[in-house]
Amino acid sequence: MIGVFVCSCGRRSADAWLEKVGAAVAVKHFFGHAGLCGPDGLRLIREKSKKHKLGRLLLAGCAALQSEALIKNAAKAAGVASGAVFPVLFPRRSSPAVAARMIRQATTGLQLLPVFESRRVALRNEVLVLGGGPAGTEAARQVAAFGYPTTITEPHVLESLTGGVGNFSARLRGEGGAATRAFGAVVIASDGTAGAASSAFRGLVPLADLEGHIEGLARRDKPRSAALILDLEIDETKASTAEALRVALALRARYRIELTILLRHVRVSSLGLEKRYDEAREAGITFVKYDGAPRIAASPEGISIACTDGVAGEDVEISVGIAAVSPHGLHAPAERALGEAAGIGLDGYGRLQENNIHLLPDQTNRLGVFVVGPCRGEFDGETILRDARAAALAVHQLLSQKELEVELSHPVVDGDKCVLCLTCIRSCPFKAMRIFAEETRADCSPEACRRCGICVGECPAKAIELPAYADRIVLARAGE
Amino acid sequence: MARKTARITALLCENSGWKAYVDAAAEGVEASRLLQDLDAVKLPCSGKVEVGLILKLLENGSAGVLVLGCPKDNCTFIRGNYRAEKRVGAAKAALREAGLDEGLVRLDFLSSLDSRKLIDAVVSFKGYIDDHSRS
Repeated sequence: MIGVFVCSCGRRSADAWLEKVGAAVAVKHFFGHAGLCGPDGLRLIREKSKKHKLGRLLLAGCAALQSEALIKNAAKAAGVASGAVFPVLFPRRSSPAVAARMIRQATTGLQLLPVFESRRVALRNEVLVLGGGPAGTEAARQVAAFGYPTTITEPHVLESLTGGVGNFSARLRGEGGAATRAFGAVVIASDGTAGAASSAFRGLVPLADLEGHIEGLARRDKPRSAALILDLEIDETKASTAEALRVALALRARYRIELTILLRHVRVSSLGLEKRYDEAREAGITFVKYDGAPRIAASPEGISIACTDGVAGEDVEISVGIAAVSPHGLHAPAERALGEAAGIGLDGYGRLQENNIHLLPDQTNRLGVFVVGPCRGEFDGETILRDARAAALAVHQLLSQKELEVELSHPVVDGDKCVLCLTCIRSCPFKAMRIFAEETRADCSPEACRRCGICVGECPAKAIELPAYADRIVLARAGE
Repeated sequence: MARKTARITALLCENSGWKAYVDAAAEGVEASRLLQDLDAVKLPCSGKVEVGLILKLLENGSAGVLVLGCPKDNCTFIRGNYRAEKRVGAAKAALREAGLDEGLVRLDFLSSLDSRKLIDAVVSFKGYIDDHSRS
């Protein structure tokens, strides 16, 4: 039984308005009240729901009725589940006709909406940490401190990761062949290999090799000037800036080399980094903030770099004996394989974590899989440790629930229409789709699914339906 | 000549378009009057829209279908809005092939806080529909 509760607050002739709406809606259980969100409104909901044995409630009014807390309270008052209370939003000063139309659309949609059951899913408490570097060890230490049995291993042993949150099966390579083990959550903390920048010509070396290279030169061959170029391929991290400053200061102190650091932005928002920048300035190191792409060419002296100084707005040309480019943040091919094995999306630079603000700092597209440190493009020491602690907390937040209550409102696949084309498996952002072997059709895991409906939209055979947003419900809510 | 205003359908992503709509519904009289001509339907993600659904809505008498999703790379479901873009493109192609106006379907991206942009998008789309209304 559906009960329609309409709020008439803020209307001049509220009773007349309600009467008109009621007449136009013409449903059996129609109740009007001015201030449905207040205590009197809740009392009305409680009384009428009990009296008429209402199973589903429609609350129509202003945006105040959209609040989750209010829906919860109304559901409690009516003695129904929160999922059985539906708000309808009226634009301000809606005419009775418009209000009635909206209520009718919602009621029709509501009548078509199935009732969803829930299932409780147990979460395993074992945690897998991939990566034995600073990020991995710190994450493992923190997770273990929360009392979870923790396994730490090198990332490359992961062959595949199936299952979903709370119950992953990880296939791990070992000496005696591969073994499958179950975990509740996974933390990926691989060290992230910075791609080696190959030298295009003499005098141009990767930043990481610069010190060693100069050290290896005979005294008379040592360059008098050097340039460090950052932000060439991408906007780099604080770690690149820290490393460049360290290298520059060391070379300046040891060999009295004239140094220029070319970059787009000086990133100093990390512990002690600004101080080091000041030291570098005091030591006579020149900083050039360039715009656009610098042109790097061989010159009789070594290397010449031409660029536009973004601050002065002038073109500058620098000639140095040796130049170093930073390989930080360049494509990291090792992450691609790991991403594939773990089912984690990559960003534009091939790092583990898709370029999406909702995932920051440690989430991935798979619920229960977290990323930490270099593999997601954080190379700075402090940040890596902070990342690891944040991920450990996230693991604890997830697994301390012991079990998840999952509403079974996930997409359903029609076995007669599904032709196993794998489009849904490819397009699901959360790896929630899989093949259901017994019935040879695709299937959705309700725990991993986030009810976005992308698979429904993508399925070429129209075999998948998201029950709460089935076409007939959307059409009912859109028209009359 | 007084003409019955065309009703348009807005398919709103729950995480951006719908939230902006809730804010806009509380705004001034002008915005409110505009939204009353709108059949607003909440979807979990703009990536849920299907070509078939858009065409069916038009067939059922909707004068136009406006899909509003999250800004690019800001989709709660990671890439849903890219998929919406692809599918709205396919719906436009289908309309073109049928000899209809592809402008009857429009996709826009906005943030959940941007009720102003929602109103602008509706005004602009409604203006287009009123000018090109099939009668």
